[in-house]
Amino acid sequence: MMVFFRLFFQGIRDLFRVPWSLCMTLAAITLVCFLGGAFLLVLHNFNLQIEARHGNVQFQIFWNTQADKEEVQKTWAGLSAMEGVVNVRTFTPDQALDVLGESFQKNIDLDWMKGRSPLPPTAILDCQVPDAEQTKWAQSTLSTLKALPHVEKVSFNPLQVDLLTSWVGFTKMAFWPVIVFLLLVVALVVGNTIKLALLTRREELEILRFVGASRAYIQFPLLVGGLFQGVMGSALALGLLGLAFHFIKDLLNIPPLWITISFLPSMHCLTMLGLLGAVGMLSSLVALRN
Amino acid sequence: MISISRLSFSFGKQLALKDINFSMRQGEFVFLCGPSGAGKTTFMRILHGALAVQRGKVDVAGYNMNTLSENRKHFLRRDVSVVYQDFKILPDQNVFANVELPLKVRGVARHIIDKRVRAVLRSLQLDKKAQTLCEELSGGEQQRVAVARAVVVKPKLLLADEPTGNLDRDLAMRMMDIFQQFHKFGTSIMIATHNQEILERMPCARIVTLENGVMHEERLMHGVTP
Ligand SMILES: Nc1ncnc2c1ncn2[C@@H]1O[C@H](COP(=O)(O)OP(=O)(O)OP(=O)(O)O)[C@@H](O)[C@H]1O
Ligand SMILES: [Mg+2]
Repeated sequence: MMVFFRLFFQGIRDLFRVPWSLCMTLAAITLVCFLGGAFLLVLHNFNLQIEARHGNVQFQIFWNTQADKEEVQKTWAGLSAMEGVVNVRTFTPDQALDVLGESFQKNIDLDWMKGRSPLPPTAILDCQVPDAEQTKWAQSTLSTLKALPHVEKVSFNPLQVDLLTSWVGFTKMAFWPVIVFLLLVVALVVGNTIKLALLTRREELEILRFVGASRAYIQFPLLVGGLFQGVMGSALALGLLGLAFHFIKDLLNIPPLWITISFLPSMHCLTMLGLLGAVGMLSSLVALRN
Repeated sequence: MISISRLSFSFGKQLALKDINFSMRQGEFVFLCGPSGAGKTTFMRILHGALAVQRGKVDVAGYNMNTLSENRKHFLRRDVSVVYQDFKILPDQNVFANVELPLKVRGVARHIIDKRVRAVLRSLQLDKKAQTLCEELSGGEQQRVAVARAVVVKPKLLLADEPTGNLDRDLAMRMMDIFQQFHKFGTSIMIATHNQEILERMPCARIVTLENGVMHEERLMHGVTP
């Protein structure tokens, strides 16, 4: 047990014997981890945002200005029964005029137009997108709305639906390749440092072997070194990320976005530390095997 | 302790050892003589597992060198100590750290390490240099560090390659006394040398010579007194 701890700390101490090499390695690992962490942070916040406004889509329907009022209002009654519709707001031409007037902040008096408003009857549908088949749902809703009598134009924010689906698709597709790529880079960097240590200390390690050191005795400190580099690098990166986070967290907290960025959950951070430690150890193991 | 049959070894095309048959009993004291380039160092490196056996059968301290894997070589090296011709000590560490190394890798307790290392350093007149870096030592002092490191573990078999090469006559004789002491306590010893004087110092030792990679049994020096 004593030997175990002694070798453990020796593995860390040995790293500091070539400080510049350790610095370079840590810098490289930190950079890579920082990039990975930033990627995760963006991902995490996007997902939070998507969850928060999960699938809220707005359709705005404009009727023909010449359309019969009665008929239009009959259609309005049926709107709320459609699939996914949460809230219906309707505007007669006069109501629309009021809203328009309000948006001018009463600087302009539009009352003289009452009764012969040039604006069309309008309805705004707030919809909750059903989880499955989002695109299909959006398309069918759109065509249903367009087919209503006297409807001139339906506008909706296809971007919202599309962005949602494409973002989810992208993250699913890109997440693992990006993570694996970053881990691979870390593995290569750590592996190279261990190889370098093996080279520069070849004589010393040979002497250790000659005086009766077992292979484990020699390799264990090097494995600890790999572990330490991985953990240290990711810890530094998380620290940097925290610092960067401190400066950007309120950047998007402005109208009309009101987005507060939140930091990676501690589970993610721990996973990152553990994963990189494991990768560091694994790559030193590979370096030792060759 | 050692049994070798039909051992040959070559570096590339150059044959360094030719068809050697040799055996050594436990507790024996053997001098390995021969001119420079005869193959003495090569022979010792094979006995220690630093060179792999190419042809023939080699058995050292109960370990079959033909089949001993890299993972198990440290067992052999805990029974067999070597003093290398080029010392193989750590120049950037002090004398004490170098001598305690074999005890440390065996996991020996600190207080025992201290006691044993001090005793060995004293007997080789290195106690005043214990804290000196090895790169600051003279050739003879470095050689004594190498010897101290080899004997501090009380090995079953001690292989020493020119252990007196850099020493003056007095120190060489003192070194032989130390080897003799260990021999009395049961260590088998093989010393490669061409120092005629130390051969005469050890009258009951067995002498074998290597010449161009061929081994001859020389003589047993009986009753020759200086
Ligand atoms: N690593 C090597 N590569 C190629 N040839 C070698 C190597 N080591 C030794 N030799 C050759 O093997 C032969 C025996 O060398 P060895 O070192 O065993 O001689 P030695 O008896 O120890 O000599 P000395 O008394 O000078 O130490 C020599 O001819 C030498 O040139
Ligand atoms: Mg030699």
